[in-house]
Amino acid sequence: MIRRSRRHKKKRTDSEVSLNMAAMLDMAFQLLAFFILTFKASPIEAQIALRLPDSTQTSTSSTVSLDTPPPDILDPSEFPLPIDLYSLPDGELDRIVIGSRVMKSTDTANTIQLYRNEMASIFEQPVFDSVVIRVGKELHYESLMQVVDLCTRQKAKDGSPMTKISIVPFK
Amino acid sequence: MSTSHSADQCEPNLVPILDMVFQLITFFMLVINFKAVDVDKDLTLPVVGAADPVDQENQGDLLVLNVRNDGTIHARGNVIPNIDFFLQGEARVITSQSSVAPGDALPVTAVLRVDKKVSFEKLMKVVDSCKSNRFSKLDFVVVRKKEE
Repeated sequence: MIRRSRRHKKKRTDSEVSLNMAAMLDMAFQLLAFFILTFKASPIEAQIALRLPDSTQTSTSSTVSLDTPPPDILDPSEFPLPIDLYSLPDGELDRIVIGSRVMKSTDTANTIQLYRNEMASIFEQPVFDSVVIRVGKELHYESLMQVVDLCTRQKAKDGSPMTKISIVPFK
Repeated sequence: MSTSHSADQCEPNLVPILDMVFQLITFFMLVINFKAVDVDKDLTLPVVGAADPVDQENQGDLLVLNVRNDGTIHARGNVIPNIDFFLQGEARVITSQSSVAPGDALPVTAVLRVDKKVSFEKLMKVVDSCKSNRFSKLDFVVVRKKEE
């Protein structure tokens, strides 16, 4: 009796077990089709982090009058570096004014290039600790971020990256 | 005899194709973005050069606000008709869920994804609203330009 059952067992293990891959492949292709159809390559995003002062410490409507003359940038001990951004009615950048220096060109890219050169000469020897950017209310966000971006690349007086950047609207 | 034997056994080998398909599935599963509901793909973000790459591990809790060209604000896939009202509600929920004191800054970063054509005036309304509702940490999302 025992001998017969052993023989039976041996027969079972000898028989080939074949897996049906077709069903698994069907499912895998369905998953693949889903992922391919829902895939959308997105551009590499980055961020510029700003920490705002508490609302109790400052007024939210801190604006600067257009009539206020820009302080002289040659005196960094008393003033932060003032950068004024004037916009055209359609929101494009009209000109950038740093102290008494005016950067204006035919298009925004050239104006930004002039501003880049000016910033390079001003920060050749870092003497400013902070920057105040005064912005026209119609100016496009892109132009503002290009100006902020160039500010964050500069060094403060102590050699650390420029982080004290205030952005205030013109009245 | 041998011919009939080979006809019985003729089956395509599916193992390599299955391997390849699973590798492709793994790739797509790794790159899929489940936070897509927060991200408004209709925005055109500004392109700048020196922004920091997004450090998703150390960012903590985020509140993503998408500001479109026409000034409408979207959050979590919905249009926000009144940003002040929305942020007040969010601040109330965050305050009740965390140990932050009622007057202190909230431990949540407001991530602003703003279309490049949005005017400064519209942007400041959102920023002022964040500030008055104690979202004092702001991240401005841009597209990073490759350095020449």
